[in-house]
Amino acid sequence: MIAGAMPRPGPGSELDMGRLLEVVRELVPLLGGIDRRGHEPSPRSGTARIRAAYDMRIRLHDGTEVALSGAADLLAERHVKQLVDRGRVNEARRFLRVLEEQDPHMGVVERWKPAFERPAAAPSGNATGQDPRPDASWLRQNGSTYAGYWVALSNGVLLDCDSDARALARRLSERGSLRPVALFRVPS
Amino acid sequence: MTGLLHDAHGGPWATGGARLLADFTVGSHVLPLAVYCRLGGKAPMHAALVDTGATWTVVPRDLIEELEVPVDDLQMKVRIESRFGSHSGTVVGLHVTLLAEPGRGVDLDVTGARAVMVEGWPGPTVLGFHGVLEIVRLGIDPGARDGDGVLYFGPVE
Repeated sequence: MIAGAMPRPGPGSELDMGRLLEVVRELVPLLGGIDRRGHEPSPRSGTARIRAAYDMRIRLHDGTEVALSGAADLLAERHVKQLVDRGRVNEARRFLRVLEEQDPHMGVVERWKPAFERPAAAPSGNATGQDPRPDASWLRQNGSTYAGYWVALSNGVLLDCDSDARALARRLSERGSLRPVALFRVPS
Repeated sequence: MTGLLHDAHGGPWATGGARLLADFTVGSHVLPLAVYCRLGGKAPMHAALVDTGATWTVVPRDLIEELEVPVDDLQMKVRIESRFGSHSGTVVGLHVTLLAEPGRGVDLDVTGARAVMVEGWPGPTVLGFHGVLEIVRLGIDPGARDGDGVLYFGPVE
C-alpha cells in the first residue's frame, strides 16, 4: 500500500544527533524496505534522515497522504524482531540499549525492555528436590502405557494419573502438598 | 552463604546440586540432560531439559495453564526454531526454581525468569540461556557411572 514516503519537519528532537545517527545507520538497510520515492535527503543528510525516520508522511496509492509518527520506532521494532527471531537476542539487547541511551521513552524500548531484563538468582533456604532415578525408571518401564496422560510420581511410585492436569493437581493438592510430587505429561 | 563448590578465593561457586540424569525418557521425549525444577512457587516438580545451546527457555502453554503457573505476559511475540520446527510464542516472566537434592545444598530461585510460552509445543520444558541460564553458574560432573553424575548450580554474583 505504501507508494512513497516524504519527509516532514521532525519533532525537533534534542537528542544527541551524532549518536542517533549511528543508530539510524543501522536502520538504513531497513529503510530500503520502504519505497521512499519523494524523499530527497539533503546533503546534510544526517538530520534530514533522522527526522524522516522519526516522522514520515506516507503517500498511498490512491494519492492520500497520512502522517506516520514514530517511523523510526516501527523500523527499530522490526529490526529488533528480526534479530530476536533469528536467535540473536544479545545483539537485539545491545541495539535496544543504544536506542535507550538516546531516547528512553522510545516505544520500542518500552515494549521490548521487559523481555530482555535479566532475572535474578538466589539460593533458597532449603532443598526440595529428590533423586529422580526411581521416577526415571518407572517412566521407562511404564511410560508407554500412560501415553497422553499426566502422571504424578513420588520416588518411583505412581500416585495418580489423569488426562486433565488441573484435575490431577487438584486431587493431589487435596491430599497434601504438591511439592514432593513430580508431574510428567507422557507424550502420546 | 555456604557453597558446594568454591572459587579460588574460597567463596561459594555452586550452592546446590541435583542428580544429573542423562537420557531422561518421558514417552517419546528423550532429555539428554535433565534436571528437576519447579515453575511458579507451588507447582509440582517437573523434569526440564537443560540446554545451554538454546537461545530461549521454552515452556508449553498447556503446562502453564493447566498447572495454573503464574506468569507475567510481556506481550512480545517471538519465533523460535528447534528440532520440532518453527513455532511462535509469547515472552513471559515467571519464577523458576532449580531443585537441589537433600544433602546437596539448597534450591536456586530464579525470579523474573524469561521464557517463551508456546501453544502446542510438542517438546519438553527447555531451560535455555536467555532468561534463565544466563544468571546461573552450571557445573557438570558426569560421574563415572550412569546415575552418578551431579549438576551443580549457583547464582552469578
